[in-house]
Amino acid sequence: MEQRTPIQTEKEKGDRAGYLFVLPYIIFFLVFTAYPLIFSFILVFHRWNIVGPMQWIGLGNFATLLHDPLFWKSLWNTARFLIIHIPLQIAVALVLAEILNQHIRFRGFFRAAFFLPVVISGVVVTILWQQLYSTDTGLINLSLSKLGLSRVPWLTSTTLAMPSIAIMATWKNVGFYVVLFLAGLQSVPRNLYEVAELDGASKIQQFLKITIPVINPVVVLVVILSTINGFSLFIEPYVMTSGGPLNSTLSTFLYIYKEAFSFYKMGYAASMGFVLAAVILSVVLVQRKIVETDTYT
Amino acid sequence: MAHVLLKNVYKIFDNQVVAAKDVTLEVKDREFMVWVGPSGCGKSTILRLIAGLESLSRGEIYIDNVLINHIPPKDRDIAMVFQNYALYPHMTVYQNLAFALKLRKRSKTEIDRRVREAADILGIGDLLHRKPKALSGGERQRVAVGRAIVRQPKVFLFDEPLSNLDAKLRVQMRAEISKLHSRLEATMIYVTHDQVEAMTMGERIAVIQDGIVQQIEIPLNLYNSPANLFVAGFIGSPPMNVFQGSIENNTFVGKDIRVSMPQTFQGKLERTTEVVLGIRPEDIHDISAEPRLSERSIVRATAEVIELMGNEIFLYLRKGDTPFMTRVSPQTQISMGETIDVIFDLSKLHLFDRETGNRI
Amino acid sequence: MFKRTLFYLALMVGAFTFIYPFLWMAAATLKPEYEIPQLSFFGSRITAESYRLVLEKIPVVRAFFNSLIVSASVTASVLVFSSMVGYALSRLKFKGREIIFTVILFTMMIPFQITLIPMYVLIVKLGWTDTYLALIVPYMINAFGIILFRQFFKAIPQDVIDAARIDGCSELRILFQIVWPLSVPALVTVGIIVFMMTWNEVLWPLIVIKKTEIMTMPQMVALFAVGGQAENLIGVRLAAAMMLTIPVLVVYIFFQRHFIQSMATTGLKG
Repeated sequence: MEQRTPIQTEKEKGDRAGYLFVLPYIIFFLVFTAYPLIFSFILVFHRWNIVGPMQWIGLGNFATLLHDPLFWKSLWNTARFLIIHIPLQIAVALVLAEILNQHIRFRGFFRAAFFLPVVISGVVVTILWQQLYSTDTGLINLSLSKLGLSRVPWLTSTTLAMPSIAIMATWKNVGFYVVLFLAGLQSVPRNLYEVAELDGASKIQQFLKITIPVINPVVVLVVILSTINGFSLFIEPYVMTSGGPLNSTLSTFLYIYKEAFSFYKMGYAASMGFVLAAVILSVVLVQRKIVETDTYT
Repeated sequence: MAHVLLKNVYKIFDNQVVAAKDVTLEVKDREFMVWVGPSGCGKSTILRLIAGLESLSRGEIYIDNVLINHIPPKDRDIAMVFQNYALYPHMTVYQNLAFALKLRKRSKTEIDRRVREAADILGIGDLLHRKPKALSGGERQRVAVGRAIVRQPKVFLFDEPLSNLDAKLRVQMRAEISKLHSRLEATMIYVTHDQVEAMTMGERIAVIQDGIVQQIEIPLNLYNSPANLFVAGFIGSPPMNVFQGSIENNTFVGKDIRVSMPQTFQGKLERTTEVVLGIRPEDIHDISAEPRLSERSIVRATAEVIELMGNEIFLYLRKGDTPFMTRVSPQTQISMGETIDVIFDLSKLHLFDRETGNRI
Repeated sequence: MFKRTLFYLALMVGAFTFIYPFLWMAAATLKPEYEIPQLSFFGSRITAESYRLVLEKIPVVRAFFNSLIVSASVTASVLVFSSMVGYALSRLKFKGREIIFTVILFTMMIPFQITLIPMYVLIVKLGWTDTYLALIVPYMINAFGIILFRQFFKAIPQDVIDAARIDGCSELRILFQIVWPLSVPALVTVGIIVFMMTWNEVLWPLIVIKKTEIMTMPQMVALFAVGGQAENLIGVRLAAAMMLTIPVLVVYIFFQRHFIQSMATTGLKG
């Protein structure tokens, strides 16, 4: 009795609209994601100055990289940046967020003030801080000498230049993390504190034993985001120091940029990009292992 | 106007849920047909198949003898009223009503005329410049109906349009939609899970369960001769009493109840012996009311719960382990725990095959 | 009470730290050059000399319009195309839908350090260097936008979309006439973030644009500060930076709540 009519035509029609809608993305993906990804994988085995023919050198780029002191120095510089930047950023952001989380008047104003540098171009921030940091004419050193202290060679000392940049980067980004932490803090159930209060826990204990574990996911997020952003450190040393003095602020990414677009060593730069990506990935994985707890998940 | 035909329609979802199984039914021109069934029975899905919002897995759907399987919703000349009103929140009532006509490139004057006509019919003329947010539930539902009317479609599809309204408003809108039908003389299919709505509004009713059409009938026949146990239990409130048992020598033998079968059943009972006996609460009478019945059977039972409804009493009785209920007149004198003799009207008995559930 | 005062004090110091440098910068650009390295906030007189010099040395107005063209095109395109994909992924049924969604999630995890150089090569091969195309096309769709739209569109009642289908809308019309008006918060969020990211982007323009006429504003200001054009004049560099600040600042002052909310909900920084 069952009549088997050919069906599915309507479904195909629905299909058609769906494909039509995602078609732009598929083209975009093929051209701007898949192709570069595949091409970069080919590129790392070649020497190429973009004008001439590509020359196969196998793992030559990676061999060069292993013996390139500047590459390792740049990685170390980036590491120094992260080591100062991340803890400083988390500490400042947490404190500010915790204060904002109290019953504070003008909370909106303060939040907006902290957030201001986040929306301003990194170029502006860098030019501005270059001025503030200036050894002879900078606002900071002028203030210090007014107070009878000696001037600090913020950007001209090989030991201080990178920490100075890290402090500036913290100043620029911390507002963003304040907002993330604030959202996290507001999600902590009030009654947890009430119970702790009854148990006689001090405010500090409450913060360490309740707040920190509950907002652990936000901490993880903040650590990972600032790591990823930190590894793409570029415009700050580019504008401020061009990587100097004595390459002490040469970040890996700035080094890659210079190799690729000043010296047109495309294959080599792409290889460094690969290694840097691998480093980022492993650092993030390790961080997750260390930072992530499953207390309240 | 229009006539709708579903032929061997199947709808099987990707997750293997069967929403329609070999559905064949016809909605006549200008008919008001109600599809009723519990939620999840597939009735809404079948309606959406007609609308073209879901695709058939197999089968054919015709409107006015034109196969519409492959025609997109907008070209099927149908209009649909949704349970959640589905008004466009960012448009005024006027824009909501005019939207479909605008898409069909009707002239401004025609659109305006038709919108105002529909608004007049529904009494929403003074709401035209409000947004849906500023309307009450009832007003929103009127606008939703208005949006269908404006289209002057061949077929109106209603998908549980009243279930979000409160009880009082529902009764009022029920009457209005019925009036609307007689005024517009359009073909209408109305889906509901509420059997009262079905009985009061439908010219014919289709009872649907598990994606299968159980019975299509005019309301009275549906009530008086349900085709199977499901329909018997679903239509009527409070529901029909059912007793499991068997037929022995033209007598129904249940665990606690014995009823001799009336003449009408004789000859039909040879094949089946395992049966279910059904009788509606109003067909069981209090003996003191002295009903004049040609064929009757007396049962003595204990009153367990007595619900006073004002115009009648719902009496929950028990004989042995077998509970059943009856509706008796408010004059009946009885209190809890007392025994009472009640009379089964044997001319109103329903008998079903226990295995298949079908009416005998 | 003491504690509250302490809190407010800390907040004031914080706010001062974040705002004062900008104020100082604004004031410094209006001072005579030789007075900038002095501690006093105001100079002896107000002068627009620094700004005059910037305008004389670099076509910063042109760069402003370049940035505006690029950012506006990218934002419009992301809104249109990402919402189309988001709509298809949340509201249309088709084979391969889940695969595409997985691919999109995957692309979000690719570090741009890997694709940057081949992307440059691609732009060179396409002959797009020193054109707006190089700045716009590679940013026309974005995965985060797709995912945010998909999430948001999922919450729109099915009935409204069905009603529109019956009323006679094509899927495109449903998206733009029905779904868009119901998704203003999502559009604002994606719009703000994409606009800001594009406006502040400096690395990519530095790579693909060498011609002054096509340069974006941050790129031009960065090159101006790095190169010798500023002749070591502090005021001029700060004035250039100030001109780059003002457009974003104005928008931020009016929409700061949206800025903060957008970035907090998405966890994305401009």
